[in-house]
Amino acid sequence: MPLSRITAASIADGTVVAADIADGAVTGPKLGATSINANNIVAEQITGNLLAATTITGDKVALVSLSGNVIVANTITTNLFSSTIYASNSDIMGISANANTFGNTIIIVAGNTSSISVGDIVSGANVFPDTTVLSFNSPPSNRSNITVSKALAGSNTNTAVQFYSSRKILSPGIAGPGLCKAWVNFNGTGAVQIRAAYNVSSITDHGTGSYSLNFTTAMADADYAPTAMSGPAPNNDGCCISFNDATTGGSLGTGTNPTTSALRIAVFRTSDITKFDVPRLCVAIFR
Amino acid sequence: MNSRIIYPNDDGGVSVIVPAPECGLTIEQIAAKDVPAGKPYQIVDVADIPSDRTFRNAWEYAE
Repeated sequence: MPLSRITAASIADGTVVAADIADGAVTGPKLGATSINANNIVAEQITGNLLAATTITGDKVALVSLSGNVIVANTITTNLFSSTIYASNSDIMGISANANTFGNTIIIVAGNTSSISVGDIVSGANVFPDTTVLSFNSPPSNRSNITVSKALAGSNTNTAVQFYSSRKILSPGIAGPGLCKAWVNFNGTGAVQIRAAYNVSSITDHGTGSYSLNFTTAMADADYAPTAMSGPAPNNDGCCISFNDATTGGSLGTGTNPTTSALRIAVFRTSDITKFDVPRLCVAIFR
Repeated sequence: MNSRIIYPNDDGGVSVIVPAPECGLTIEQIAAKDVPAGKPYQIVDVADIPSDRTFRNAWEYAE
């Protein structure tokens, strides 16, 4: 009987065990199912495209080793991954310590380094991007003498260094509040033009030094925190950016309070508090 | 995007909406979202907007 004729209902529990199937005896896609229930797949090793399913729920796959495109699914629900592999808030903040740094070596002089692991990403003065912890030197147990993957750009004494796990999944729920929700870089002079933007559908030029940022996707509320930089102001003058809300008043005039969909701002000279057009205005929104 | 949206503002002048490049919305969708409710507006070519802003606050909206 061709293998394609065998259905689950015709195989009694325990009838087929791994020893009955010779290596290479089954070729092509091994398992195709719309739904997999209960602990149906338990394997020490799966390679290649062995599992393709529309929906996987519950504790369906327990494996010692995975390689290749092992799991391809439209929907994954319920604890498919252990919660311990998700980054926590403290993982996001990293491990801070003070250290003497030189060559490929970091000697910790202050800080709790017990959680540092091989593979952690290192940052700090004179540390190149993507530098990682290679090993712990004598004695390895106290993790205070560390060899890193890239030679440092210079030596420092008692300088701040940070260590971040490279083996955690960053969940949107943890990272979201710390991410920039919208930003824009535009030219407010001549033919006003946006150079680059994220989650900003447009800016509104209301007049000299007066603009609104309009968000593509609205903020959760109007309690977001904008940060901005602009310049240059003519004649070495100072340059300020202000909310231009309904109570601003004075030479800046009244504008509109921040809303979930837009933020109105004014750019003015510090010498006479007069609005002016600025060649480079950059605003970022955090919430 | 070479289009702009203009509408009369509450200060007696004109506001100009400058679309973000590659924001994923059409100029009509941006107008529907970013022009204040109830305001008349026009979609114009960028070349129709003066680049000389010396008297920017004196610009007026014409139907």
